[in-house]
Amino acid sequence: MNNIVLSVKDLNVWYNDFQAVKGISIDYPEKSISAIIGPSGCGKSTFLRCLNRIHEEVPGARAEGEILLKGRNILGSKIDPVQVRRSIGMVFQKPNPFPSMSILENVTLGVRLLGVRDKSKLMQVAEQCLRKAALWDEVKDKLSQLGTSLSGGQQQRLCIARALAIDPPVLLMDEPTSALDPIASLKIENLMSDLKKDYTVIVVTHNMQQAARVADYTSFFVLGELIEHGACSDIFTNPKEQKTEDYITGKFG
Amino acid sequence: MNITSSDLREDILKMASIVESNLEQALRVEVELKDVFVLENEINKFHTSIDDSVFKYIALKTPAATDLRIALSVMKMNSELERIGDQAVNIKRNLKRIAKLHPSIDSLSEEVKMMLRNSIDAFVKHDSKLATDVIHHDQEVNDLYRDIMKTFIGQIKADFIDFDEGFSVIRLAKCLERIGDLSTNIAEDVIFLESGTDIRHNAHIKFGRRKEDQVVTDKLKDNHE
Repeated sequence: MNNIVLSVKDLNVWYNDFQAVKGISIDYPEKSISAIIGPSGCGKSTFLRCLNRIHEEVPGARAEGEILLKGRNILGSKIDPVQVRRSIGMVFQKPNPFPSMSILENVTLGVRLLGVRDKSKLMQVAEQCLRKAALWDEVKDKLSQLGTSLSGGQQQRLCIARALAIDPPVLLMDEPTSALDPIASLKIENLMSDLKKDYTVIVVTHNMQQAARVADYTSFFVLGELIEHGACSDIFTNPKEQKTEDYITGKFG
Repeated sequence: MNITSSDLREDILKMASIVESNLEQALRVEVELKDVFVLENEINKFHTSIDDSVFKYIALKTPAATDLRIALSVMKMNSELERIGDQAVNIKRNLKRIAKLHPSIDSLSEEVKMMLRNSIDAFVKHDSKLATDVIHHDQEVNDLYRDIMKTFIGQIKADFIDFDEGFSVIRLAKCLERIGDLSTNIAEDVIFLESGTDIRHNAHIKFGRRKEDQVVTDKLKDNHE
């Protein structure tokens, strides 16, 4: 197994009195894709959102435990969540390019907020990230057009390019293809496999076949608990837990 | 784990190449049984690892259409090739018991080696026509085998040949004839892979002699239309 880049230890999350995540511990190896699957309401999106502290945006949300990014607990009270999000990027279910910004402005927003003003440097970042997101060839001649003018699949790749611009070692994806058609979904899946060369990707998906196709590891959650975590080649061929077997064969969930 | 259908194709070709070498070695008088076993071990390793790859490929990639047919065909070809490997060992054992070479065995060996090679070539070249040729050729191999059996039973009965010698020749011929059958199965797998048509257990399609080679090709064409 590669070096562990992100290590979650005994994570518990509450929304006011309701406990959504119950004592989950998972290690994420560097440069791998890990999927989280489970029925609706199992806490998978909440878990993912804690990994870059976006859960804090929800009133009443509270997380306990440790999330160690290269050994440093990002849940620590002295840690600035904005800094955390620079290291752990996120792509959401629905593509969300900033509606008033051009394609170029969308991609370069992160680096501009970090103070980069040099146009050629910004252009270089944009090209690099759009290439990594497999979008460059489709948009290179219309970088000044609005990001929202693109198709849904292109917008999602634009959001991935935007997340990559600040070069976070970890990329979180929350059902990144559920709003896309099968061809656009396949492009995102292929892109995820390419991104694995440089990044650690953690993806929440409702699509088990997607988890099986793209991920190296899969975690199965039910009612806030981790039922099973392991290599996809084990989980999808010979799961250890009956609940996992029932879920992946469509008998439960 | 990122197994693709191309990986499965490549793996089965590597295995086929070892199986062909093993058959070649088994038929050479100067090669020892232990040398045949070395290759047989390699074949057995491929047998297990290819089945495991297909299993994981189906579980993880949920293949459809051509990719699904590749997975199923590779799995079936894998079994046929492993059995051919076993037959090569039996051939070597029987060959060791024979005092002198018999020209009829040489002819049968050449025919069977050609069938095996062509069945693999048909897979490589996506060539259903060549696969059909292999299937038709099995009849000739069966005829040759029957001739050998008849001749040597006759010689044993007439005491022209030592019983052990004659019996070993017949058993060796049987092993070769089985390889012909197994190569035919591979050819059938190739036709299934290329067209989606299962022609097994269908003598009308396989051996209907209406213009020989035309029959299977016509059937495949009908199915496509």
